[in-house]
Amino acid sequence: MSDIIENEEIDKDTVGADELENLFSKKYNLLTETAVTLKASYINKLSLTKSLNLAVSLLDNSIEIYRIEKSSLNRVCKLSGHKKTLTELVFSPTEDYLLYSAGHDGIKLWDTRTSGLCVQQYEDEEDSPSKPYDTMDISCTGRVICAGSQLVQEDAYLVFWDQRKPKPLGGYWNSHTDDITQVKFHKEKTEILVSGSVDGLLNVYNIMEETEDDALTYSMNLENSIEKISWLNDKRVSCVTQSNDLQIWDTSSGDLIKTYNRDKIARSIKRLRPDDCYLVDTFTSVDKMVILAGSYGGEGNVLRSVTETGKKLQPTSNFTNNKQIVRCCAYDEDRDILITAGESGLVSVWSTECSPDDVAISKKLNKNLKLHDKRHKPY
Amino acid sequence: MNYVSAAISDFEKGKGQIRKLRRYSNEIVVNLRTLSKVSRDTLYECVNAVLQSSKDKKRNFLETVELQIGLKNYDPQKDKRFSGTVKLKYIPRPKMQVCVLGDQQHCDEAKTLSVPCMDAEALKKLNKNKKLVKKLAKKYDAFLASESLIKQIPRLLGPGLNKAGKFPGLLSHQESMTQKIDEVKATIKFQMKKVLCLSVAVGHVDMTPDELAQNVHLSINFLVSLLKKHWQNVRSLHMKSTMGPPQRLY
Repeated sequence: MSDIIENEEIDKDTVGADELENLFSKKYNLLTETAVTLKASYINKLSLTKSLNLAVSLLDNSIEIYRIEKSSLNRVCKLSGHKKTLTELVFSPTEDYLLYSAGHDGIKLWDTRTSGLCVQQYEDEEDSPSKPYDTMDISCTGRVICAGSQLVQEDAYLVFWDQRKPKPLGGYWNSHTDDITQVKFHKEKTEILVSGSVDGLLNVYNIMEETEDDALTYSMNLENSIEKISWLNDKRVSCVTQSNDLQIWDTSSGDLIKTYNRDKIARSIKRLRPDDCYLVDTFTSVDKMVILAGSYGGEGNVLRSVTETGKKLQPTSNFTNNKQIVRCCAYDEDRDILITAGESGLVSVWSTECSPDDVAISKKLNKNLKLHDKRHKPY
Repeated sequence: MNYVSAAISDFEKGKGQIRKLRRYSNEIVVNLRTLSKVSRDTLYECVNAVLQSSKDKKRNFLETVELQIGLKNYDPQKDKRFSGTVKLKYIPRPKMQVCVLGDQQHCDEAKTLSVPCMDAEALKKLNKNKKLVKKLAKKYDAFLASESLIKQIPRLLGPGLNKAGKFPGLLSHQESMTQKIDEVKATIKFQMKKVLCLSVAVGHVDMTPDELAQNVHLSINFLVSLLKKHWQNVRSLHMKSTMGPPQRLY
């Protein structure tokens, strides 16, 4: 047996620049970009509405709201009030000015029209301090809120509220044995909820049932801690694990559909070292799953996407202007716009349309042509 | 003219020097790339010391050997959490009891292998009774279940196994039952809590030095692959047996 050595090999592309250009053929331009503060800050979570309102979380537990208009990010307001770690942001699916936030000091509701007032705080049961919530979500009708807590003594809680009332409706605390990292409501069915935890279980519930025993429909064992869950369609969810693997599960049958491990994803984004590869999230574009992944190696600015085509991961886009390690993203399918945010505190807006520079240049060109025409007129 | 030729020769000499320096620096870079973090000798010294101390003072149980890791340059508040499971070459906890919740075929196989097993009928008899499910969960360290059964578990037992942290892993018909059970026993999980240290069982004191050393080797390499900045995140590595003194690896 040999010594335990440090592999200092630097992560690099496995193909040449030209091939990279050809393989990752869908080109996204950096439409606009902004730094949230002058101080160094991570952005761990963001939320986006259909109307392109954007909320991002800052390390000082405040929230910044932006509007994406044409090709610029306009800051709307700043929401301060969380005293402890802020962990999740979710816009109401029905009112695009209402934002919910979860933190280790509870759940809050904000109205972004009134220059950032906290309009509601959701309480725990009487006489108990608020649980440290790591995640939350809201049902598609905007009525039911669910939050998942860290382990408190022996229990990890899922707590439910009616959006209109500060008192909780009830909770589950038997289905997970470690911190709950994600809860996600179904996009169309109000009664279906999935939760993921550090204990490695992905649970599916029908919350219309009377008790937790009856509500728990499936438990799926990923045998790996869950970091992120995304609904891909009305049945399937993708799970990013804390060791940067991806698993696709069918919530209607309880079957594992597919696993893409870290090695496979590193190969598909054409990078050499799987140890440096990280997974951001997945989203659906034209009925196909797109995986967004990057590399910690070098400057940490490699960000690429691949699309699941049949059984293969097809290289799709190379975000060459990316400047940071990306922690979260949101995708607007109608406009084909991707928002990324991450560890340098930058919010980046990516679009397949021309970047403003290109537009400006083409305008200039047109101007020149006109001038030219005029000059020719007298002759 | 003399000055000029002297200057030129100095310049040529300088160029030679630079070339030489460049060659050296390349060598240094090569050496850096394969920087030894824990030498084979250190590893065996620690392994032998751990095994020796448990021999010197025999305990009435099989002592577990654990690897303790101290982290640095890592902020649990903002950095991504990490965890991962890895299968070791040698089983660290041989006394682990695994129960198979099987379909007909798996139950028959389990019986011939004298592996504890239960079928759907036996699970139905527990009648979602919390106490009985809890008792079942306590009796074994881990569970494996056939594909047809694993999906019914919440329906048959409620969240009892979830609550015990022992929800079964999948046992398919394509893999050998004994191999899968050994895999469960040999798999360890790295998981960071809110503090900058973690520990994991990598073996026991009845292992040979080679077996223990190989498990430690594999565990360290896997852990480093999970860390964002790899070795730049490792502050210290120790190994110790349940009752023995810690030995510093790194």
